Amino acid sequence: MKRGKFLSDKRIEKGLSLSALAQKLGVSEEEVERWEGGELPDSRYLLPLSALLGVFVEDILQCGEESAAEEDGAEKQADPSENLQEEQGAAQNSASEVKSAVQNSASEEESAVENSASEEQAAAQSSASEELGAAQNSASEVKGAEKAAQATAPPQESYYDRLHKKIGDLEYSADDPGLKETENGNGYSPAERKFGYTLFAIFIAFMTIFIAAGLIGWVTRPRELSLENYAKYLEIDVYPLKGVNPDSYTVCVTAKADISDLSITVQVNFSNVFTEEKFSDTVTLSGDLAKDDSAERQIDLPSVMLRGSVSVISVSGGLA
Amino acid sequence: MTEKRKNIKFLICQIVVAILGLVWIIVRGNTVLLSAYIPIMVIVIPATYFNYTLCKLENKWHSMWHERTPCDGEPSDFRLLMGKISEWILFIMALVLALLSGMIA
Repeated sequence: MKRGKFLSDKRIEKGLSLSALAQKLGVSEEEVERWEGGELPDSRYLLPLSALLGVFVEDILQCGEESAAEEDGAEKQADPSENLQEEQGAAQNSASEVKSAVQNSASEEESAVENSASEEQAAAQSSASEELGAAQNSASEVKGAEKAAQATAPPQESYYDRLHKKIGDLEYSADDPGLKETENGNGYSPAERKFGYTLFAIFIAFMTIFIAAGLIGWVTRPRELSLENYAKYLEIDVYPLKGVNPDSYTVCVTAKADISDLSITVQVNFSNVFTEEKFSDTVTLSGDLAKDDSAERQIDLPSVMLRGSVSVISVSGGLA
Repeated sequence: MTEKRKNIKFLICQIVVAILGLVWIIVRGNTVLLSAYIPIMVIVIPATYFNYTLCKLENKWHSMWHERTPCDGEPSDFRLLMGKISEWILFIMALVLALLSGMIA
């Protein structure tokens, strides 16, 4: 069976797809396709490949040898024996012919011919042995390749591998790549990369949403002051001029943002605690206010009173 | 694409996302968060890549510290997994910090 077909059949038998096998070995799919096309896998992949497919390294190598032997190697292995038989037969025939011819001649010629026949046999045998030696050399090269593959095999079992085997942890698998995908163990596993890319996508999506919301808020921001939104842009404060027995107050309006053409009317209610006298006054403030600027107006009371409620009657102005 | 190239590509994406978070925090003006964000990212991003090496160093330290019960120097899969999980949790926390700066005015 050719090597490529052998690998392909074993892979299908194990229920592995091309990409799965490539991923487990840490190679590209194209490389696995080349192997299944007949190319001999690199020596460092022979052992892990054989472990995954459940075959011996020798089987993988011998399949290739057999496929090559179908073309040349088998003939070479067969040739020595066939050549030997042919040459031995030819030598024997020539020796017998010579013997029959020599029986009619002198004893010296007989011995000389017998020597030549034996020399021919020896030459035939030596050529056959050389060819056998060549076949044996090719077999030794195969063994050498196998040894090289074993030399590049993964290191011995770690302490934890032996421990898990000792306690009979059937779920533990030393063959599972786990987190050690690269040669030195650093880097990321495929699952980790998937998780990471998903996390990055979610983060970027959130940032995009925030940026979009900010842009939309800026585009649709209010352009004018109104009774509904004045509290967000103005701060109104009413405080007495004197700390004790106040009979005059100041109404102070502070802008939290740049406002142009501001006009605000504020009604302030006062009351006398002792006489229950009530007083109400309305003040109007106007002008352009920059951020953190303020406008003030003083209210003089007829008597000492305490501040009550403050309400905004009307407000208008332009926002930046 | 080889595994090494895929890892480097992922590492670059991770760094770009971290920089995006940093820029977002600076743009929103919540520079107080930088004091936590930058150290976390500087530690976590290399630690995520060199997790195996760090765990192996820890094993080496264990072998030197506990001479009578040294291990063989190879970190267990459980240790590697716990390292990775903790590093990713820290990374997610840093990203949440960056997102919080967008929510805080």
